[in-house]
Amino acid sequence: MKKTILSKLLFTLVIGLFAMTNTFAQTTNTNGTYDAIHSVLVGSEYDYNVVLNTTGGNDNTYTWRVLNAATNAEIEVIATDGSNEQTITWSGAYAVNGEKVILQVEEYGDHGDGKVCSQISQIEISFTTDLPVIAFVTPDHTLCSTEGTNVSVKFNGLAPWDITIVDDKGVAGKVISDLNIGDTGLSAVDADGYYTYTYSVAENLLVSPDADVVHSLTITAFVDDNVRKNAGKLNGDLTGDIDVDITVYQLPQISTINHN
Amino acid sequence: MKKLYLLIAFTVGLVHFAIAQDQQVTLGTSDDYSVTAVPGYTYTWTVDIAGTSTDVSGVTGNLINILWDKAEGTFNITVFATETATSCISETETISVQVLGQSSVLFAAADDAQTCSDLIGNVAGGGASGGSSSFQVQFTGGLAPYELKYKILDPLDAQVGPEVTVSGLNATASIDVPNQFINEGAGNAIYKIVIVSGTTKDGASVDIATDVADNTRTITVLPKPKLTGGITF
Repeated sequence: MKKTILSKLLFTLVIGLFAMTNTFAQTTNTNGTYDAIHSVLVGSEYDYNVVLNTTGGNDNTYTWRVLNAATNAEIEVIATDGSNEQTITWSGAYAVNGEKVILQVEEYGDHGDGKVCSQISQIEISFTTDLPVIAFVTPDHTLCSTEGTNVSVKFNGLAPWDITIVDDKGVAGKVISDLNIGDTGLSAVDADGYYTYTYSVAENLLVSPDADVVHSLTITAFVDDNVRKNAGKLNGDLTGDIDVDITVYQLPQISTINHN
Repeated sequence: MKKLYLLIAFTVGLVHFAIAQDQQVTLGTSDDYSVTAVPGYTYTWTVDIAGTSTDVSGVTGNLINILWDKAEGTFNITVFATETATSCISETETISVQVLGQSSVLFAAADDAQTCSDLIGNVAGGGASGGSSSFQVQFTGGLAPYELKYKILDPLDAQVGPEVTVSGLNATASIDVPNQFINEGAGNAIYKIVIVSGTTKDGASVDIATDVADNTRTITVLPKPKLTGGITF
């Protein structure tokens, strides 16, 4: 039975990403337009997929292409193997800081009678060589022994993030793994694209029974999803304000109450 | 070893905090309370206002004087130090003070005494003479030990000698009055032992029972037997 072109036009292709939290909006069949942008670090490797669609034809094969974002001209055919999944390392000649390309997937449905219909879905890929940056928001400050405090860091980049803060006295540091949007302690993104993460250091950890103690905190590791998927990068930008000192004052010493 | 450590830790924890009472005082007395002064520290004191009319809210030094003038009971005094340079505060120290009520005293038993007259020169005249007459007293309230003063009145109610002070008395005690009385008369001589005053350990006055039966005891001094006519031979 012939299937109408109209029914084919009603297909919905969805582009998703394996094992990632950077999900993009569901696209409808719109040739030449895209409604999702993936900002990638040059050299990073990502897995892409479209949902395997079993309607509208018998073969459901896929062709993956890279197009010029300005002209839609084809730059590269990544694959014509019919797979709905592709792993792409963005290291081609077109992967230049500040430039953009379109990643296009075309699905074909061969009806076996000589008629092959297709639909496309695509997203914009923008390239950057800028590493995500991180810095302490918390300034150097002082506490009385047994007071707690909050420590805040500000950063950009793509979720999820891994952050390691080391305290040279061993109590006020933090290892944060797979920090994601919506997690406790993480703010909403600000107008400049930065997030702030805050954690509390409990008062019973900051005790100075004998003398004043300086806790020197340092951000030693910072990875966003782009860095994580980039074989050539170990960390984001750690050249900012990545050190903070928290001085904990010894409590005043008071004797027992004497009476006559 | 773990159990011993836990026992020690538990005991140390108890010592740090106030136990049932750290001090006892008598209602109406005042006391100084202090902590060791440290330069650069100010001190914040609080006292249960149910026990005292003393206002310590403005005190910043390491010493206060509290007049326990309001009620019997147990009241806390707390203090903490603030280091001026850092605004950090110390742990709080607390003591618990038990205020004991007004004290009173009376003779506790019906133990009027009798003795023989001394001979001339305060030589023992037999019987209880040469010894002492013992009288039970009972203190209630206030802080022991107590001090008591009594006087001796002769049969004409004239005071004999100075008032006598007896110290270190517990709530139930005895005072011993030396039997040094001479009775040259033909009949018995009644001497009175009268409680004059009392004082608690912390200097509060002790109320004296107003009933004579409670504040006075007697020593009956029997007259000396008389020999007449000398020795005949």
